[in-house]
Amino acid sequence: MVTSMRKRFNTCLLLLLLLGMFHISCVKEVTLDAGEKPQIAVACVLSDDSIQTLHLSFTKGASLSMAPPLTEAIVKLYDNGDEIGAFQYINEDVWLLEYSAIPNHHYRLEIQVPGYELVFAEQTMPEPAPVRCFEYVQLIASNAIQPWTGWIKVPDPVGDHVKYLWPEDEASPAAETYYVRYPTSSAIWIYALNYNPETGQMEIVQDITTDARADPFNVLDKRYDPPERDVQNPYKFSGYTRYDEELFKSAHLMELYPILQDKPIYEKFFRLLPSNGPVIFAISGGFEGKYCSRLSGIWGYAADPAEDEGYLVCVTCSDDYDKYLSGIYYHMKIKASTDLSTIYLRDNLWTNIVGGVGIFGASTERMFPWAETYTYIDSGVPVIDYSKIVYIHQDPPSDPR
Amino acid sequence: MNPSILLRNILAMAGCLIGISLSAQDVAWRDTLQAAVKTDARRVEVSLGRLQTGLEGIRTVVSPLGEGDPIRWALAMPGVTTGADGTTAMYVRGGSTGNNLFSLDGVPVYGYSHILGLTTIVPIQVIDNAELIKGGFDGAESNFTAAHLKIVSKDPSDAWKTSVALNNFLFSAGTEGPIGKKLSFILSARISPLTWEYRAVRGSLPSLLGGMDVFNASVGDLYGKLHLRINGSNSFDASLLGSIDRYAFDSRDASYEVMGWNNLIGIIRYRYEGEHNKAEVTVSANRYGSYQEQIKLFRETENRLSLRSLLTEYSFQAGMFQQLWGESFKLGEGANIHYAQFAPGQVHEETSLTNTLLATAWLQGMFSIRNSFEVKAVFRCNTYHNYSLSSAVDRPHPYPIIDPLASEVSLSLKWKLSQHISLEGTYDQTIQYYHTLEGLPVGWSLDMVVPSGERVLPEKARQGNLALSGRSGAHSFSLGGFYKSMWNLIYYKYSQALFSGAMATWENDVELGNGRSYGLEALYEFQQKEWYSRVSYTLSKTSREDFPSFYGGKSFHARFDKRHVVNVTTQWNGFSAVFILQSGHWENGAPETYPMPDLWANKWMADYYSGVNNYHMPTVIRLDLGYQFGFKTGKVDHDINLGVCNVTNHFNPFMLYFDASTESWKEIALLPIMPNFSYRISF
Repeated sequence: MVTSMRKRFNTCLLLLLLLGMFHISCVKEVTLDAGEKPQIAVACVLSDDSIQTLHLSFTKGASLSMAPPLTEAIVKLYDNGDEIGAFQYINEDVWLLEYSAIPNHHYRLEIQVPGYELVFAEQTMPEPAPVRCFEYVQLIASNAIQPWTGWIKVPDPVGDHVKYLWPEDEASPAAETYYVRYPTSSAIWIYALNYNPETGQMEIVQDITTDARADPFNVLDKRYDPPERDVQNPYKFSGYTRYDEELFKSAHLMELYPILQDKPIYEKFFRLLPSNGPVIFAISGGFEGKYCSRLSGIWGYAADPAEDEGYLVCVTCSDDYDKYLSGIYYHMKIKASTDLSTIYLRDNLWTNIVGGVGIFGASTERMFPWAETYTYIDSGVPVIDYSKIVYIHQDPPSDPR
Repeated sequence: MNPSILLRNILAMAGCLIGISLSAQDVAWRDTLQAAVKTDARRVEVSLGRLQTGLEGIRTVVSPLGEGDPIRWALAMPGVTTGADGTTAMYVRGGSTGNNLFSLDGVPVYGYSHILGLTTIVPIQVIDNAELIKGGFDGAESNFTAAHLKIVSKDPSDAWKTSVALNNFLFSAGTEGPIGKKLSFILSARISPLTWEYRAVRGSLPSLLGGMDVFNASVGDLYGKLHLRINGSNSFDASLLGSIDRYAFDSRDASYEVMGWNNLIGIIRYRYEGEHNKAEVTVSANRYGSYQEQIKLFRETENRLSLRSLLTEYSFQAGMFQQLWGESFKLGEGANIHYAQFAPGQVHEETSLTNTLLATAWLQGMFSIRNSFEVKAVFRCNTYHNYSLSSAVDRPHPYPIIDPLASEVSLSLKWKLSQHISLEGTYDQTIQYYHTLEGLPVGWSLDMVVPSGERVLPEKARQGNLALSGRSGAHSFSLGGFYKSMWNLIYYKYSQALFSGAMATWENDVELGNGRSYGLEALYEFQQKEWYSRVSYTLSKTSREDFPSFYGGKSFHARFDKRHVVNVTTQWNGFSAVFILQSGHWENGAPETYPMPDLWANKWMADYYSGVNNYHMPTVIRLDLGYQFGFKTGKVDHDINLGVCNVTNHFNPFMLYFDASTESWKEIALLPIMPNFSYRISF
């Protein structure tokens, strides 16, 4: 009996050791490559540049080190059914076509790849961003206009550029540059570029804030802390008592004084949500605009920034491109998330490519100069064509001439 | 640590202790079953969509616990696909696990699994018989769309019997006997020694425990039944079943997890069995709770998740049968009423309560002609009310009626074509009002059970089955085909996550869609005095479709769409061999990637998923061997089972596991080579 027990114990010990050896074999790393036929990935965003760029590639299976090359294809662009031309293969996944897209034209991209059905997508080129820029300027009124307050709206070739006129003994009321956006059903993407003198390159401004209604998906976990001079602005509605009180209490004025303090900061850009009516909003952030809006012609409209000057960019996207951009930033955020449950998401990036994946989009860009704080204009009496001035809030001053 | 790895570690750990501990499972069946009966009881009774077995058929299944249980027996039947190899997740004819009904004496058991899905909470010693019903449902069977695993408890013996049992997963003790002339009882208790086993091997075999640092298991169950035999026709039963499964563990990868589930079921039953009439009234109260808590480090951020669910149900069921016109016609009628309160997905202190009322009236008729022709027709009428208490104030109608009147139909036909061959067919239209948000395919009772509501509609199914069956001497067979359509199936988006904070808003994370399944089922049995063999084979295809955000609504594989499932069982003179071969199931494959530009034309690698369930897992192959023998010393019977599960140590991965530390996917197999040894004494 004892011998039997000992034998059994030895057997168990053997099994024990075996189990210890087999233990490791219960888990194996796996690549999970479903082994399916690669998809055709397309990335083409039409612009008003003179050359259109297309990126064309195959999707890469999980077990592959690189995607199969895709160089054999016929890629054509059509404008309202008329063939514009064929993209030419350049290198890697780059294909080019000399053409400048025209707003409101409807385009169709067709891609023929051997072994695949026709891949295509359609897109309409959007109009430029319906954004108007105006800024505060301090006027040495004693030289020109009788002391008064108010603002005048001056039409200019690009947009309505508004100068705010203030008496010389008052500080200009705000540090932000203001932009007016007119009603639009499309979202607008806005970002800023700073010039880096060390590299000689334009760099995307990391922090940007606004009081406008923007998509919150790229909001950072911090709030805007404006410069002291803006916070202490004597013309801030709540504290203003010194000058033309009735005017500054008006609702319109309140719109012109959005306080950016504690407003959310967005990472690199913000996406303005579509609105039904005109909105006025301010933008600020990590800008270092060292230039001001220079007088240009009779309207005082700012010229394009110099090579070493930063600026704002408003991108008007087609609806498809807007949806795609929203999606890609959402997916970027998910991939970087520390929430474990995001691992299990299996949502694909939105695509408008029929028979493939990717985006065939369209966008237009407009630059806006960034006005330095306390913009100061001292150029003598501006020559103003009063017949083109639209007075918004106050009776026009008498013609100094 | 992933809980499935925990289970694998527990299996390994428990396997180590085989032979060190004594093991026994139940009271002695030899006392109640004659040898001839015992042999014959292994054969599966097949009739009108129902597969039935007795205690012996259940017990002889080779399993990691040394003895089988009803689910393990059912898993070897045709038309049934298993979840994780070695566990109790069961998929029948394309349905999900939550589409099955597991009942004890007609009362649903929602958290039926035990010991991390290795067995069930119903002790085998209290089981009289088990039946797997895949079609041709009876009138009283309602609120499920796939299959009914019906467990019937046995009535206590008039003679005293006691057993003390030990095995590497459960210690058990049971006794039964008379209390006076008319009253008798059964009492059974089981408790798991896993925590002690862990402590025993922790120091000497740390490699066996993987990344597990601290482990604590509180696992046990208690069953008691009082049987009052008023006279030869009338009897009362009062029974109580309580169970607890609680597992807590710290792991070396800086995670802490607690999970568990518990059941408390009280049943009072009155039965009348006359010569021509039969009646049964059951009143029951059922409480099923589950909970999961996790603190897990992911990308250096502590993810704290906590989730609790509770289902409390009160039921009244009554039915009676009358025999009319001799023995050729039986008429049955009855009603079931279930009043339930759901508190699914409680995160911390947030509770969302929903009360529901499900009432079913049924009528059943069966007509037979001299054993050559048999037809059964069942009509059920349901009314279902959902009372969403938490949001009632926001609604114009505080008590929405979700399904005021819905009918179900079941038809069965059996026609004896010749002396040995019969043709059978069933047709069922079924509705299910409770849904399970399925997580891991291991059969753990952790998945939330949620009621139908405004967004989650009742699941519906329609199925037909046609089969030939026959018996000649030692041989018997059945061969048939089925087709099943399913509507309003629930697909839970985070099924691979054991749980997540997202589950608190489960209604936002589920998709409703449809499904279909069709296939062939074959069962062959050979039985002689000392020799028994059974081969079951299922050839099937199961798909899901019309889920709006998955694969564009197109059809995709159901997760356990296993094309071929073969189970071979052979027993001879105490030796047992079980061979299992199953096509691999389907998992979500890794995405393909492609470069896409951002706002500044910088390239970013995007993921492209061609669909869900698009990665075919490896084929499951398993060979289990066992040997049973016994001897007697005085009045004490000794029974010993020796066995080895997965003799070839085949790597049968059942699921994928995301390793947060390496951010890679891994396949997990639960059952390595797994010796089992059981020893039981009874007197």
